[in-house]
Amino acid sequence: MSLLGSAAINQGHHIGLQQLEAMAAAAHTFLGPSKRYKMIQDEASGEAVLVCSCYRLLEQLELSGSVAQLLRETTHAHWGTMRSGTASLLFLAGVWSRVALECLHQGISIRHIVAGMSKGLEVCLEACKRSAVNVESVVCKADLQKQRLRGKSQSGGDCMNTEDGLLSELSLSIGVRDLAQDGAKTINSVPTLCFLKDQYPLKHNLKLKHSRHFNSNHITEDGRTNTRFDIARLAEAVHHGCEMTMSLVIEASRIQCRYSRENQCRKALDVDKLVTCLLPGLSEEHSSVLHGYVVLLSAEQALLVKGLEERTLKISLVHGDLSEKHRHVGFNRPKNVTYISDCSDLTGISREEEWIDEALRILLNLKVDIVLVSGGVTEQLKDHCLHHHILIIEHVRVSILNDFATATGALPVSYITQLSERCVGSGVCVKTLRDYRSEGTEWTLVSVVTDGTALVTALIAGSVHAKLQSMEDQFWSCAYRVHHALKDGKLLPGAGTAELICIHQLQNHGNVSEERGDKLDAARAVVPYEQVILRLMAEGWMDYVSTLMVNTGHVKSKTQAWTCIAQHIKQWENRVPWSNEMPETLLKMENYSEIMQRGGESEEEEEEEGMLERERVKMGVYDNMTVKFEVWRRALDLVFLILQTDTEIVTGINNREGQYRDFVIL
Amino acid sequence: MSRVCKKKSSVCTDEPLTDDHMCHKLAVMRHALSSCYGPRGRLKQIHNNVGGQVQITSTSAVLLRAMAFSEPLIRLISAAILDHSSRFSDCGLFTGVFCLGLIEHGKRLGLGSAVASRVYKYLLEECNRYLSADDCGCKVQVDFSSIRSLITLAHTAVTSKPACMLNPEESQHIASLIVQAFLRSVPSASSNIFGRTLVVALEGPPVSDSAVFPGLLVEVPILQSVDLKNRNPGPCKIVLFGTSLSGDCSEIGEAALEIQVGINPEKVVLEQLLKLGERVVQDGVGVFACQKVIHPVLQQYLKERGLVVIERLGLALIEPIAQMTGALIMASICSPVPAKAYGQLGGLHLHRIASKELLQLLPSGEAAVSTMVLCHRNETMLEELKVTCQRAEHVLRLTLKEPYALIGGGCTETVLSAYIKHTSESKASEAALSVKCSRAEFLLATEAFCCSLHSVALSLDHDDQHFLMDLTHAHCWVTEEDAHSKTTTLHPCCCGLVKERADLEKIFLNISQTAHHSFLPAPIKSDDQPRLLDSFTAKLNALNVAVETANLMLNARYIIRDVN
Repeated sequence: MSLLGSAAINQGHHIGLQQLEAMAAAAHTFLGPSKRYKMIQDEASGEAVLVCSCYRLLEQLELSGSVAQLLRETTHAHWGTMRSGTASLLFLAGVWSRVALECLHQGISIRHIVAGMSKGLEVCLEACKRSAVNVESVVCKADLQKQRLRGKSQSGGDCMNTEDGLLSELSLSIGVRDLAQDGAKTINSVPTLCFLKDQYPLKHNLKLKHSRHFNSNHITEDGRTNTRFDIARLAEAVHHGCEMTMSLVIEASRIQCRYSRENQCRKALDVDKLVTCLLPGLSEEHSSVLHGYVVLLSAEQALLVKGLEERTLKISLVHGDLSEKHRHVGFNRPKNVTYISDCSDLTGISREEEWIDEALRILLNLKVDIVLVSGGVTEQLKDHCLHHHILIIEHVRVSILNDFATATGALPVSYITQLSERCVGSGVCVKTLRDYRSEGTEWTLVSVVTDGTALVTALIAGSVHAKLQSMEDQFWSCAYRVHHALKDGKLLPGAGTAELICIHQLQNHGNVSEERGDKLDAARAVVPYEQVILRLMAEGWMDYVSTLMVNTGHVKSKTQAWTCIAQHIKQWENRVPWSNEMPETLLKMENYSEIMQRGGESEEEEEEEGMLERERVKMGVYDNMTVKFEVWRRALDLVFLILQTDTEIVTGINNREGQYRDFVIL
Repeated sequence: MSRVCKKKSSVCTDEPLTDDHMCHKLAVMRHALSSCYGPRGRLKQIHNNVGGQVQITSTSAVLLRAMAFSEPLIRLISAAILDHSSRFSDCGLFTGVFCLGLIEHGKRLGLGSAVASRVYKYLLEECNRYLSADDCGCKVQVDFSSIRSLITLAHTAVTSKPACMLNPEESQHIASLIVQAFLRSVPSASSNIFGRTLVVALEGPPVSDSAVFPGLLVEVPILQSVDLKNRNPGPCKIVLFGTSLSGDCSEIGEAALEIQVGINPEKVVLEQLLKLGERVVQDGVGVFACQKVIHPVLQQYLKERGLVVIERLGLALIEPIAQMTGALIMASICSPVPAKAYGQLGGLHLHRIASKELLQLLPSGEAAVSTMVLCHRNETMLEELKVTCQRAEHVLRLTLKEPYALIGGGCTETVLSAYIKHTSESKASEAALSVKCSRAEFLLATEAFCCSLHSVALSLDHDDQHFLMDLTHAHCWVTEEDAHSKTTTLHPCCCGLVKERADLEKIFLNISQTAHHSFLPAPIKSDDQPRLLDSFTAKLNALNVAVETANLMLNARYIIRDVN
């Protein structure tokens, strides 16, 4: 008899933290806008997978061990809600484990480490909250800059006289400084700007209004004017290098705003109504965004669609499979059934055929043209329906079904026999888009749209099959970044600027208390370790920013990055006496983020593109506030959990297993 | 052949506690439990050998329930602790550490098992007498006219588990929520049925989003969102079904069915369900709830007629709903629903928290059911928070029976040990006679008892702090090792009752010796409230369980094991 017992081993805090640090080493190359792909090969089966984010990396690696599992759960939970930032999560977890290990090495007790690091994080969060900028001001600033640039280029060869040009430039630059000084203020210097608007005819219809929300009027093709928030500028601020994918998101937002009902669309982008459709084999330029639900159909179905194209169709929705055998979830089929009959009862028609006839009859009676099914459909029924010009699309996601339900008024049913007049909706149009060939079979892309829906499908095409997953992830990252920016209403200065603020704060935390006098002396005396911990955390942030800089290619090595960062911080300290006015320093940060952005451009290239660059607006790089704060908090939670765990208990082990010889078996 | 190999005879071990191997295991167990003790305790990570979820916790109930022991003595202790936890929720770790401490210290001081167990029993009676007396130095009366003691009790319970990872504001917030939920559940003068609090755990939002809602919250899957717009607000009738309404014949189970071709049993059952639905609609019911699955056709029928349909409530929710609304849970679909089986609801409300839709069922009268929604960033911390909140609420409920609390932070243990030492020394001769041992043995056993109490207090130390006891009031004090002790701030004792004074003489709390003159702990004459409180009922019972289990283990002479 094998005795199942539990074994306990008293591991030093070291092991768990060291494991975490080791696993975080994989995150280095995923940090920053230019991520390097990694290929993971399965030795057993020889299959390989291409990954581009930490979440996918951890998913594929299948690491064993409790720390690895914790890490995977944390990244999974973070990915589920935020869809970006997992690389930072992993990197910071590693860096802070190193901080904790160093503190332990120096003999600081665990409760002091926990208290100190929590304090450090609070200090950083406070500082970053103060330096957050409103989304509106970011967008406005960019537009003003664009106007200024346009003004510059036009004043060169146009009929505008230089006086006007100078005047406008002055007022514009005042406007910019105004904004920069108080990020939360609205556009109060509007009079000058309105004057400008009359002088400089703008290429796009941009009206600046005295309002809290920056409105833009789009004249659409059918003459409707929609006052909606234009996310193009915002998207530019947060694209983090994925310009092409972000353009898909911008297009999706435009389509949503164009087609959604007036009373419904309050947000500029509704991520719940976005769907992706992958097209392996086509080159990347074919990626596009379309209104409605786009699906790949076989050739016969495509023919049918061509016949249905011009009309408005009636639709019915089915949850579950469309087959005789299907029963709803929760139905327990009796296991031990025998059917007995007299010979005279046999009619030669099986139950299945009866059911198919019934289903067809119902569909024809109600004049249903298109059926969306969330499960599978019996082959015979599909054929019959094809003959009767009823289009059936199977394996539709339930969320899409529900969207069609609200948009068309159809009620989803579980059994076809439930269909009645009330359950059928109307107003659906179908259209064939293009042919598509994959793995020898011909498919056709078909879109199913209805007027009141905000459903948008993003077609993501890529010629490298393995890259498609990463491209889809990238799309979702971009969409969620815009979504979170809109939800928060604020953005943090990006490209490592927020982290630099943190470093600055942590390093100067001690100086502040000195200035405030002896009142805090006692408190400071009691916590001498705090300085050590804050300093170590600042070093951790330096590591983060330097890795970021190395990844962008601007600096050649980490030591160069460290020197660069230290210089910048010293510059700030020299120019800005310690005060709480963070927005002042924002202007200086702009220069810094410009350096970060330019990346590996060489000087000659810069001169050539000089003319073009002046046209292109330097948008600035920004990060989401909630996402960043969540990443920091989750990373610190993980480190604390592992730091405070001192014993690993394994249950369900056999006494005779050799693996647990070092363990104490209870 | 019923056996392939010869049946092995049972193995008998005698005097198990003299075995070094066994003692080592007991020491490991004690270390495991004492390292979890207190707000700065260490966490334990539990996972199964073959994989599966990783649990990180420092709660004794969770820890011991997840572990399977092969040593009989350890299984004995674990069962005793789990039994205590299931009845009182709190002080599980105290039981374990104290019990194992008694055995260890007894052995260290060279006591015979029989003598030790008799003296421990005697000392336990002394403890019970002291703690139940009115002038007990470690007892505090819970004043129900102000919520201060209740919040302190809840706060102590919440902060004692570090795996929850709450910062001070968050722990205050959670403590106040617990007291809120508890106060809601206390029945009013008209009814004497105790209410209850259910917990809904949501992962993702910050802790500050946690809240208490009156009534019950039912999770509605997003794909079946309830449409409340067409309903008129206000009270409505509710009908509850405990049986499955999915249209299958699941009650039959594994029995064989013979069905005539042409008869469709599913159709028959569905007709019966629809008849039931028709009757329910006729009776003007507003909410139709079922513990299990409802057939989609029936759902559609009811929804079309304006009823709110809730399926898959689950066993955990069906009873509280029945209690709150006064509805009877219907167990069959064949008989019509009698009028008295309908319950009454005060109203419905839809909440959306953390991308989940929760339907709130409000009671019609003053029902004492409420739901606490707990949020946390991380699943591990959320689990621990959930268990901790349930524990804290149980602790508060125990005060209704015995409105006392014991001072926390280790002070109760030091006061108790000082008192026991004093009374034993003064009554040593008579006591030794009644327990049938020598005076020296009696005093030795007392020392073991007091050392064990001290070891519990010392379990609060995990970071090389110095624990001291003062020689006037016998309270417990903590000093920092690296403090620049020229500070001008005066630290009170661990529980907060005794303020620092220049004339308070202190000695180090050392588990290996209690070498100080015995003294009677002086009562404290101040109106201050302690800032840490433990549950009186739970700790008293924990003390009893610990001593009884220790005696059982000391008196175990043989262990007979069947190794087949």
